[in-house]
Amino acid sequence: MVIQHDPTDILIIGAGASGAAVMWDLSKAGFKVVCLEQGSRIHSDKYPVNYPNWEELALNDWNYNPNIRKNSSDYPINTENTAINPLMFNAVGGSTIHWTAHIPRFHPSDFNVNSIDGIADDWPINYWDLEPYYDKNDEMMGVSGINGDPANPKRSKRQMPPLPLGNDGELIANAFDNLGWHWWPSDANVNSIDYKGRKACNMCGPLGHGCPRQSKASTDITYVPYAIKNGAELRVKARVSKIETNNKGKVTGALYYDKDNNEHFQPANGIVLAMNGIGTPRILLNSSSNKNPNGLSNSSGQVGKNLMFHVYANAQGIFDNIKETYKGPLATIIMSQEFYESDKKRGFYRGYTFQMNRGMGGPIHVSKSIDWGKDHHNEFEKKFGKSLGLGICGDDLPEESNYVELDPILKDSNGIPSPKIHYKVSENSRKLLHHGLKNAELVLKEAGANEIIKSEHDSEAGWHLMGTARMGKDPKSSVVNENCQSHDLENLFIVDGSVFVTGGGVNPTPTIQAIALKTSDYIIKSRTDLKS
Amino acid sequence: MSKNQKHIDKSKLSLLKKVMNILIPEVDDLPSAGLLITDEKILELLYKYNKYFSSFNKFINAIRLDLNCRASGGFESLDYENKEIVLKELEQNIPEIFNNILEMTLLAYYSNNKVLDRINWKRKTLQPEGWELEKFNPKILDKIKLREPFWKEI
Repeated sequence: MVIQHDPTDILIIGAGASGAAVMWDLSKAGFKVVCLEQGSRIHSDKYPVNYPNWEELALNDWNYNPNIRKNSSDYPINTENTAINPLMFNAVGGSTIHWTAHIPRFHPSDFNVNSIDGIADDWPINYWDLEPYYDKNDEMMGVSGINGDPANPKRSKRQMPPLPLGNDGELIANAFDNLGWHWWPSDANVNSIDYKGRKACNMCGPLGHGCPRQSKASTDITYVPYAIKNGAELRVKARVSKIETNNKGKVTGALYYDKDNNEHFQPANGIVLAMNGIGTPRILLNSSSNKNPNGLSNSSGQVGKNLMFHVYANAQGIFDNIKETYKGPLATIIMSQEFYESDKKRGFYRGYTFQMNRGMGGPIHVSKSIDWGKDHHNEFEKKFGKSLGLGICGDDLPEESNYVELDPILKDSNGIPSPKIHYKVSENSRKLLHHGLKNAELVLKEAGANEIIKSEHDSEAGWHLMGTARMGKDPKSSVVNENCQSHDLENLFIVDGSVFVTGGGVNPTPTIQAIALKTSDYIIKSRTDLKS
Repeated sequence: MSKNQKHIDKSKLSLLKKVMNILIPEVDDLPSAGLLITDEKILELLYKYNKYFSSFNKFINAIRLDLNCRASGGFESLDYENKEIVLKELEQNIPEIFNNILEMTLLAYYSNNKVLDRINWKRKTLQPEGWELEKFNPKILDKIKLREPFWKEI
């Protein structure tokens, strides 16, 4: 028997980066909001860095890869046919629990790739449309940083001064200076001083597995508590199986399972999907019916198509002139966008960001990156505390041949079909990464590295899940419009990375959150019909 | 799978420790990994994580079936170089299983107090102490601040 709930104004599916932001904004405006999250609420005393075996936990129960982690909140993903493994975290706060909180913004050019380069498509919105929502999100999440970056448009005053660069960060900054290349301190959602009741970072290092001090912003501590104070209702361990529709072209609510496998139906005036570029197409495809045999909101056939991850390569330098590179946040140090904008002379479209990364945490993580056998101890001695990396985060252009579909066999613990990923690294991406690695080598040499280890393509870098329900003006070639409203169903909205038209060459979370807040603003101002 | 359902054969455990000796050899006054790591530590990891347990059984079977090992009377009978060759082949042929065995070995080895003392890693738990770094000094921006904006205006 299906348990029926009282209707709500807005049902949000997913309490991660975008869902939590919408939950806060709509509840503040007086909408009755219910949010369903398949994961649970995690207390900060559970985070690995509280424990001596934190590296063991990071590699297992807290692994970035859900297929390795296999928590009860996770669903299996068929990755037989992908060059990059998708990474995500399912909990209140979503993947902001395990992100490194490095928050570059898209550039204005990222919204006009077709006009500039004659490839992919332009977005139906631009940077300036999103700018006030970037700022609004910055205020809630809290940004450590400094204005004046010549690679980006001016920004509003950052809430906190930049995080310390450390000797290692200064070494790399000077190397960029010597080469005459751009660099700037990373904007970070990590507190350099106390902010909104959350403590300043104490530099413990591995940001990727939760922050017990709450110095790193994750939406379970930035947006969700305020949303709940506003009256929003959050239901955890609630896994949605299907969205229902009526014959008037509207969504009516969602079916979901609770932790005891009881089935529920939550009716709603409107639904906001806020998962990620894999979870959202999965639900839309799982919501097929006689009327929508190819899945919900899929008259364009674009649901699941154009999956983008960002391509990633890494150059690691080994130094004699630095030590203890495990001190300080892993990835929110400095970035360079010298090669961000397209330049035809380079032989590929679009560009990339250099992101400086510190050493890989404790001894176990370092030992995993070196060979076993006779040379193990010498290599460990050379690397431990003396290595740092330059990551190359490359723009990943949309291609229909990269896609998410439902696996015909694989199912999650509730019997809901799982996604299967198809993804190949394009020729353009390979050229881009090659260019990035050559330049990373120059920077590390300039900084004094005596050995450089290059990784051409990182298959465990699928943090950024984008493009599978893209935004556009034309309902024949896109899934949602400029307000993230479904072309097919006027009371269905999508606010996660799946609406991205192109991927940019930067981490997407602040852009996802700005899009989410722009959408909630639209609902507040223009969809009072959804409010009871 | 519960602890009771995970039966671990002592001869398999002994073979695993011989493999661990090759993966991480002796150094200074520390013995190789198989001699340093206790049975209890290995069993703890095998019982705790299915990925290690299932890889353990598959890995031991693969070693026992390896032609070089069989021809020589078992992995234990091979000399050092041939043990390395066998392991490199397994690393290539069953990479996921091999990596799980290697990861388990590294976890057990680098959580041993003697090893941590040798590498001078004193901070086993990162919180609540954390580390200290000097505050950001804006003087470092002097050069880059001179650069004109270069983002592409649309």
